[in-house]
Amino acid sequence: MTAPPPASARYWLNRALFDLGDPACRREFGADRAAWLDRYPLDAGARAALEAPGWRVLLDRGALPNLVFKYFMLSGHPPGKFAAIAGETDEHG
Amino acid sequence: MAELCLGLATSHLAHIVNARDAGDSAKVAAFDAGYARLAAALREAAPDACLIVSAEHVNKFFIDNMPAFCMGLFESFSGPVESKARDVGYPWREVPSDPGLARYLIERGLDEGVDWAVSEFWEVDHGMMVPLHKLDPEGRVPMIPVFVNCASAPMPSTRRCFAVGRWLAEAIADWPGSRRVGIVATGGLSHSVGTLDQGRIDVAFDEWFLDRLCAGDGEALAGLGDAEMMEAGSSTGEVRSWIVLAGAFAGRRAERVFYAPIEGFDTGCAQAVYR
Ligand SMILES: [Fe+2]
Repeated sequence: MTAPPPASARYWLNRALFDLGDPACRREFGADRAAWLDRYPLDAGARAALEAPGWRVLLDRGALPNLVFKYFMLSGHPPGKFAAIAGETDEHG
Repeated sequence: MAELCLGLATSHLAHIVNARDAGDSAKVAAFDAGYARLAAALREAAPDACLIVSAEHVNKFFIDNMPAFCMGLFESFSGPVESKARDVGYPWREVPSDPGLARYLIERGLDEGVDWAVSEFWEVDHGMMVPLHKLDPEGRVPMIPVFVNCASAPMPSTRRCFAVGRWLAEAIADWPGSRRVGIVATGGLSHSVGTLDQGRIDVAFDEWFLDRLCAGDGEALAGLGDAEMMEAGSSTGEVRSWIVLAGAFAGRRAERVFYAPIEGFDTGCAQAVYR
């Protein structure tokens, strides 16, 4: 892979989550999660955290909590269960 | 010379319209009653226009170009943007705005050191649309949306939020026409969204905050640090919008309309009014 465009360390992770606000991106996410992730120059850890998803890892890597929460709901979880479900996920994803 | 005729503050969570059963029914009814009192105050004051000041939940404003403060400049705006992705239980609609007043405030700010970012297209989220749905569902009062970054550090300090509120009051007072203007601040109080302490409500923080607001002690609010707000919850920093309002009404006492920690809504829910 060619070097990603320079950005802050947390940028592309957040960019991937933010873009899920776009309906076309959401459709791609629903149809083929790997293809959606291929759009972004993510390191292996960030990609794994998005794939798992590893809620704690996402937060530890600087994903914005509002975006993490929207991703949580998009993943089909009930909104009131974030702390319970995220608390159970493995530290490493 | 315009008159700052009303200040309203309310939590803005959408549970009150789409997940009411999640909260204790008596508390939810009292929260509704508070909204009704704020709506009545808005009708009685009959402002010609209001600013609506709120956090935004990373639906529009993103870290590739994050302003501290942004004002809408258009004839109207619309929302809630979340309804494009799912049923949110209240309708999409267009809200009239006041581009004359907005342009005046923006131009004056850009001359006086309040460097507004400007938005000419804005599909706002529940932060504004839930309170508007409860306070003015028919869109009688033109609303100028004002964003405060409460979502991604670095964020404007509480001291700066208070100063921007003070500046708003002065600028509104100097408006060359005769006009009645209100400010609606939304967000908070203590809550966490998308972090492991979601569901925790910091009642002590909320009571302190409301106590200082109602005492007219804006200076105390303007001394809140980022860490103190974060300690009270990852999204508690939304009280920045309330501090903008406190700056606009500096030295005046607010009336406490409602407060309850509503478990299931995951939020210290509050409402207040400056008359
Ligand atoms: Fe909020």
